[in-house]
Amino acid sequence: MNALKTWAASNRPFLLFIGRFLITFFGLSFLYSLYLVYTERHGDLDLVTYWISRGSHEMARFLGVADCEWSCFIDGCYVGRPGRMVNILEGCNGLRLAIVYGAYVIGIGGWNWRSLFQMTVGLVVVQIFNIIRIGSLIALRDYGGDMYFYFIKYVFGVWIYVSIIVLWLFKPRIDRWLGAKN
Amino acid sequence: MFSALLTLALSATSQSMEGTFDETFQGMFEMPEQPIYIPEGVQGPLNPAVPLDGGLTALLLAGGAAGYRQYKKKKA
Repeated sequence: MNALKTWAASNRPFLLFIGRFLITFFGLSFLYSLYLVYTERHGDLDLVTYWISRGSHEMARFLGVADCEWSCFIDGCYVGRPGRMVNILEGCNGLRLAIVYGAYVIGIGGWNWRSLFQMTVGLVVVQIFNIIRIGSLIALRDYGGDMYFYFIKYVFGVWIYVSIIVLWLFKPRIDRWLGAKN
Repeated sequence: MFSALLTLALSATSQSMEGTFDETFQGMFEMPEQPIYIPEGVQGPLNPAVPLDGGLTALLLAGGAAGYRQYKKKKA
């Protein structure tokens, strides 16, 4: 018990980080869940999934998917060529991952303008990565073959998670760009 | 005599035919006892989902580890 107290006393900044990190994560997740309940009660699709699927549709068209169609329903959107579509659900929109990213930034930097700015930019960057991911998956599905399954199972999952960790590792450098002292 | 033999032979043939039919169609409309095999995973869904939230816990743990690393660096 004493050893734990000593450890806690010597690692107080880390414990504060964990506290801020978890409170921000659960707080933002709770707000997002409330929003999802609100949209469900109104019989709407959430706007994040809507915009992600719309962006993915544009990305797929940019990547050369001919006759790419896009249709949204209450439970999600269908994007792609008829017969080769992908289903973009709420769990595919990447916002929960972006919330984890934002929680880390707030956890490390605290509630200040630099952290809020980085969190906002990070949310947009993670969503752009996700649009590239889904757009490429639509293009791969249109292209055919087994590549699609390989990419969806391994490559793109790793791609988006690693991109978040790389953004975290860049945080001290971004802080310096924004004029932080250390 | 010939007609009696023919009648006997025909009745024997019809009995054996009935036996064969019975064997073939016996239990035709009964459900088999073992569960019916339904192939799964051979062909994926028509419009597959592209989920991302599977590794959320792993990412939270990675965040904790990255934060610990950052504080260790600051401390050193």
